[in-house]
Amino acid sequence: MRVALVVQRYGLEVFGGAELHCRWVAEHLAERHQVEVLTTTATDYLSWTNVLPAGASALNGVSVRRFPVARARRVETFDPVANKVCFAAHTDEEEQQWLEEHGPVCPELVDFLRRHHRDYDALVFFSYRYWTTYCGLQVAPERSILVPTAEHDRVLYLRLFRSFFRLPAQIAFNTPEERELIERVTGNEGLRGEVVGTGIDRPTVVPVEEVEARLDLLGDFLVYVGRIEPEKGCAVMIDHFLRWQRETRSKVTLALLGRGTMSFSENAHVRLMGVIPDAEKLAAVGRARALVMPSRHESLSMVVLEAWMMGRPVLVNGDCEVLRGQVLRSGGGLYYRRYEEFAAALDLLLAEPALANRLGGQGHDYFQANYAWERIMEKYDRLLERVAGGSGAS
Amino acid sequence: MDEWTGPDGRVDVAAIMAGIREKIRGRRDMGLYTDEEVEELTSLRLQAFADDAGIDPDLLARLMADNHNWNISTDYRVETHRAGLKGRLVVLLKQLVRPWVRLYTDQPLSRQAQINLYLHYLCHNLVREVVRLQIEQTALRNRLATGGGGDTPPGAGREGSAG
Repeated sequence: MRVALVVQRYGLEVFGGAELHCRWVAEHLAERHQVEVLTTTATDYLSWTNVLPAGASALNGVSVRRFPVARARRVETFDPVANKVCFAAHTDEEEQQWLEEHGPVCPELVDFLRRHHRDYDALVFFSYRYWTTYCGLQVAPERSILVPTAEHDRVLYLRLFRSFFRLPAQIAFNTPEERELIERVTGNEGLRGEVVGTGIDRPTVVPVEEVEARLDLLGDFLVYVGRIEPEKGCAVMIDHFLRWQRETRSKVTLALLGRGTMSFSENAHVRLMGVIPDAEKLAAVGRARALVMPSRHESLSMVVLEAWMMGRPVLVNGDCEVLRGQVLRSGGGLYYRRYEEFAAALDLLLAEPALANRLGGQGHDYFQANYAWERIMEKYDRLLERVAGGSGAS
Repeated sequence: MDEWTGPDGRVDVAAIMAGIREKIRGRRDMGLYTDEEVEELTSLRLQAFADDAGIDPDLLARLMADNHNWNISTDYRVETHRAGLKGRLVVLLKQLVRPWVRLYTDQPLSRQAQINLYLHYLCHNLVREVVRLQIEQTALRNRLATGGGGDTPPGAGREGSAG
């Protein structure tokens, strides 16, 4: 089958959950289908600056076709309209303006789709909120699959997206909570599609016992993996952790793995490890007492899946319906809504290593049953057959 | 079978979370408030005092914020209420005079800013202590009323400075 995947950014240098999700799906689909990724030449979602060469190339066995972004995103024009459409009464024109400002505006990509969409049996679009998805999916919705990667934020409430979610022939939801959220917020009950999610690629893992010395992480530690920024809940997590550490005099360290955009006072108990190779990252997760995921807005936390793949329990923000739902379904960890629950859950996970290991084991079983690549590819094949067959309906 | 294992032999996460919440509720019934909750009560009390004082709402909002933007500063902005060319001229003149004025005002302004900050912390901490004492008093009264005793003094828990 010939399949085109459309995504706002693509490449090894791109950091972002949806983009990595797309890359992994592309690489696995390419093992059984003829896959081409259509994307932009940008790597930074805050500016959409064109940095990569336009045209055809290949990455990890997948054909990639890049198109230049026509306009950069500017904070001074984006922020006012974003605040207006998210928090105040506004018009449909202002929502349209938001979409243009949000970007990445890439007319050449949409022109290419108009001319060549019949060359593909199916088109798969990643992340509903980007210009490339919104405009590209309208070209051939009857052969399009949408992977929304929707979170519970104000953007989902825009009128712009109410009818949009009815367009694609199939939707590949990340979790049952995401499906419920989209259907409820956009007023579209019974959307076509199924819960798919993503698998996790496991690079050659560094032996868990070696990671302590490699990263100079001695003793017990908790781990956070991802962008280190307030929007991801990191400020509150660090605050909670330091308070808990002060109150218990615990010697446990919180290791932050990822790129930091917020300032905080690093000390002996909170350590910024930066971006490290995936193999070391997984080993660090496997060696940690637990993984903490403080984000309130997730459509599917791949980091949580990684922790379960490594057999470790997670402590997640219970205000995020998706994370709470995943933890309750899998039995792979605990959740918290406020400091007291954070502290009590942490106390329990650390004081009862056998319990923590059992939770991690349950998470591992859940991961194997639902997120192993064979399962994911079976689901994608089902969706692709539906749209390529032209039925669209599930 | 341990306390966390459900009938299906799996660890029951919902039961663990219910247990955690129950424990937290129990501590609160004993008057063991968290620092976070004491801080919330303190803010409410401070807000009530400020409302009585009837000061400018904008300034009040700045006073209640975590930063110190409410305080006076030697780096004040030079501006005027006059518009147009006249306004720009006034601002220019003020800017020209400013270095000479600052020779005499910077030192007392800096000192006053520090005194303001000290008084701010003093008042805030005093109100917080009053809130803690009131919580403790209420908890003691509750224990007396219910005939409860025990060796554990209020506030002996981890979050117990509030007790």
